[in-house]
Amino acid sequence: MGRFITRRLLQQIPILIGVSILVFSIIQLAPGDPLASYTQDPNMTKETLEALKEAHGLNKSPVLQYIDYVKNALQGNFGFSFQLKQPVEKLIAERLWPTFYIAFGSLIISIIIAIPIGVISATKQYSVFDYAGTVFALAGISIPAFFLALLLKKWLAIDLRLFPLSGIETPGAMYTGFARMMDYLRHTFIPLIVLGLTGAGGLMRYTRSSMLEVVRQDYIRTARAKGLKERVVIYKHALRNALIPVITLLGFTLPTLFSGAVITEIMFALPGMGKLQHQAVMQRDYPVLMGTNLFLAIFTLLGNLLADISYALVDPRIRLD
Amino acid sequence: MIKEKGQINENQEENLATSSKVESPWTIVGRRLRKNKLAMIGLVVITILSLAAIFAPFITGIPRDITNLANTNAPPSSEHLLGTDSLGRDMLTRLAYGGRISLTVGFVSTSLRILIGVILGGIAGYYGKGIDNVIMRIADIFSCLPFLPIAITFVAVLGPSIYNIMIVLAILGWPGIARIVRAEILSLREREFMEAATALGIGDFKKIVSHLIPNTMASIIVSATTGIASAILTESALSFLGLGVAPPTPTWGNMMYDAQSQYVLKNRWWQWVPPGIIIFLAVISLNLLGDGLRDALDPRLKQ
Amino acid sequence: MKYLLEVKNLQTHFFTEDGIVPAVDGVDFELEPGQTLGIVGESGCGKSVTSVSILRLVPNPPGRIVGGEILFEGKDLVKATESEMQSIRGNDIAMIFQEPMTSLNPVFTIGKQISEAIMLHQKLDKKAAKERCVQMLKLVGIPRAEQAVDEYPHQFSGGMRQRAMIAMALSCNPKLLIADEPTTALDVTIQAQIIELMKDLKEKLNTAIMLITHDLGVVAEMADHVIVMYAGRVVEEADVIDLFKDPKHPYTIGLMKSKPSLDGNAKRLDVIPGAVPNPLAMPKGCAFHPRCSHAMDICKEKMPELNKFGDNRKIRCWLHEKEGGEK
Repeated sequence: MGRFITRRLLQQIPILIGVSILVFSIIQLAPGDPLASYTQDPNMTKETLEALKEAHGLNKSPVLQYIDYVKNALQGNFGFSFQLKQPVEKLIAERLWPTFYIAFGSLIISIIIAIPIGVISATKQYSVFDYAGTVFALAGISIPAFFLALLLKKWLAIDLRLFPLSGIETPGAMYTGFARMMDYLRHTFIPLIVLGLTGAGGLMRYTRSSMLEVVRQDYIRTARAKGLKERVVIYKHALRNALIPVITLLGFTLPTLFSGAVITEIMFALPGMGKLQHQAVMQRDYPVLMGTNLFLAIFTLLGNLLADISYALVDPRIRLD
Repeated sequence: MIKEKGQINENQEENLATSSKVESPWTIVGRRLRKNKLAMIGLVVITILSLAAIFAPFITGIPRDITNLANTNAPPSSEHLLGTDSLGRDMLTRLAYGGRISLTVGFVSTSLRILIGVILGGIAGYYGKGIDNVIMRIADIFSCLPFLPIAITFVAVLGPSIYNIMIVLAILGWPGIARIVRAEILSLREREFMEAATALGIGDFKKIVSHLIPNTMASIIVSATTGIASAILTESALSFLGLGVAPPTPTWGNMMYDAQSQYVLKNRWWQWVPPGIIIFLAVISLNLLGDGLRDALDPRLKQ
Repeated sequence: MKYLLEVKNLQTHFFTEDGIVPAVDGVDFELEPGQTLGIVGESGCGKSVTSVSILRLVPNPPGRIVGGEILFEGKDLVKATESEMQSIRGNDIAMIFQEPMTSLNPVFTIGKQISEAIMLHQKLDKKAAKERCVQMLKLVGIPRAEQAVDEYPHQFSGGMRQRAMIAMALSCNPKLLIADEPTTALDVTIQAQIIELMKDLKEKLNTAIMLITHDLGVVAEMADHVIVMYAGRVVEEADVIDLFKDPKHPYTIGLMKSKPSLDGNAKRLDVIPGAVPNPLAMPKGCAFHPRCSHAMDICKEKMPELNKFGDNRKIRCWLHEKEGGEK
């Protein structure tokens, strides 16, 4: 198992290098001057500008700039935001947890909704429940997350006033402990539900078809022939096998998860990486853009690794190879 | 003479009889698809939306961009069936025109994506070994990019335009197609008919094109249908955030941009609900059609 | 009560999109305690469906037992409740399947899968069940049984997996073991080993066996009594020696002839022309008549009855209708 994790970890390194080169290249395509905010400042002299450029290595070739970037990044230095006048790693560190919270919170909601419905749909194939579940899943896949967010915002936050419109906590309320947690939950309820519901669709369809595939297998017949209760056959013998491909899919959904988090952060003014990135786009703050993309890619890689490990945990054929 | 003629006629009749019995695979697929009610509903809806987009100028007869500052934010009326926007432009007209952009983006970006995916996946699957390894690792890199953040960055860097959106969707979306094509080719090249082709001295390129690609068509068509759906979703999200296609060109997504304001959200439903519903309808129709095609093309997968 | 199992007019049909498939269409047979009954026939003749019907494991939908009785120790399993069936399955009646490669759950250890049934039916605790499990693995000849209990199916070879399946099936001392093509998927050398093992265990445990196979060699080796099935019906039933010495039904004769033998001086193998009829379009009359070289006019019109000949023999054929048949 240890060897398996090490091997997977090592395999991620070239991918990470590739991702960083790719993101770096996209940013390099950008027209305009990264020091724009300084150039527009009338108090800036040409000499100070040159000195700044030199200090940030902006006169070097892109390849050398990339090498510099990697060297610095390895020491925990991800550049400097000229617009926000702060180091990128500090900005990201501040915005990290709301994004994590939204992404993984909604993932958990998706799982809680999707897997039981998918399993029941499969065991009661062609029942009313199955049809309802299938329609629900298709709707979840097909509705634009931002449209669902608008609908729920209008209904729950504006008309019924059940939830706050935006932000992650009540400004100036200074809640602590449990009260603070509930305050966060109230503020993020709509984004979590929106992403949870839209994410559940695909997961549910996948669970259902994986389960249908598994219940046809010979070993399920063997389990029944042993005299096991149907409940044990389904929830122990079948589910464990059906989850193997579902876990792989979860690994692949992570990039989508962050996409969803970005949309809702912008729409609900949640101070996460998505909001930071949106600001960076508006202000052409390239070091921040580089940092946020790179970090989101790293999280995706870590998520994939996590999926691999859970995959190995449920499938002995992988674990023991 | 006459007798002979009669015989020929009989033979022809026989030929006709056998040819009508042996259906081409596409006829069978078409018949299965027609049986699937949900898929047919999807096909009808997406056809109506496409026709509305093509014949947009004739839907209301009102010009797309004409502003009327005397009649801004008007609720639906007999004159403007879906009301007007903040500049007094007719919502229904713009919805029809918006379909042109949204559907085109979906269609073109998916075509591009398939082109890249089929070429790279085909090369990887057919040649294997080192080339396969390089291409698939690159695919790994692209598929772990967080889609929307990278798309936002890309569009921010290159500027928001319909072309940049199509390019970014294609560039970020090809690995999925490449994997499908590669996997199909890997399994196909082991089969006998490929050896037969080698024995007949058919060259590599010709082999891929004439034997392998047709065999992967089924998976690609299904993937394309649902791919258009997800491209429409992404375009609308980007445009809604103001990072997609820029006004005054309407798309279903950027028409909803105003709904980011709480006031519009609360008081002017006609400015954001209809485009949202249309996106939902277009996407769900394409997904239904995609599911139907999958079942029709490969009944083994039907569950 | 003479019989352990009595199947009377069993009918199991599959309700498909294209129509009703009468996979088993009126099957009768009996099995005495400790006896081995061979069921032979080509694939698609309904022999496997018969066996899963007895355990009530017909996949539903599309399949369903639509008629008949399955009397096990006098109790009708067709009418039994699902929970009654659960206490019979794996306990009184156990089953081994054709595909040892796919019949074991890949995510649980061999030991866990065997002890599951032991814990359920024998009410043993985990530790005792595991001991019993090791004992069973030793009995079926698995080397290093103590380690093997903690291994996963993918670490076993095909022959080993079938041994494990047999261990699992016999772990609760069933009165009846249904073996559905237990050797078909195995290499020839392994096949012989498994047959030997089953014969050996039958002596030791006195379990009745219902052996489903298309391999007449296996039948000759193991069975006491044989029924031959064709298109969902029994066409001939006889003691094994009688059947091999003097097959009566043209289909049985065909089956015998298509089996290679060493004393045949490199004679060409006979084949039965044609294939098993499409179950959706069964021929009128005797289902075998389109392939039968002795087909008469009546064969195309009317299905013959399964008639008794002497004590232990039944034949369903118009050719044998008159010669001493008693209805």
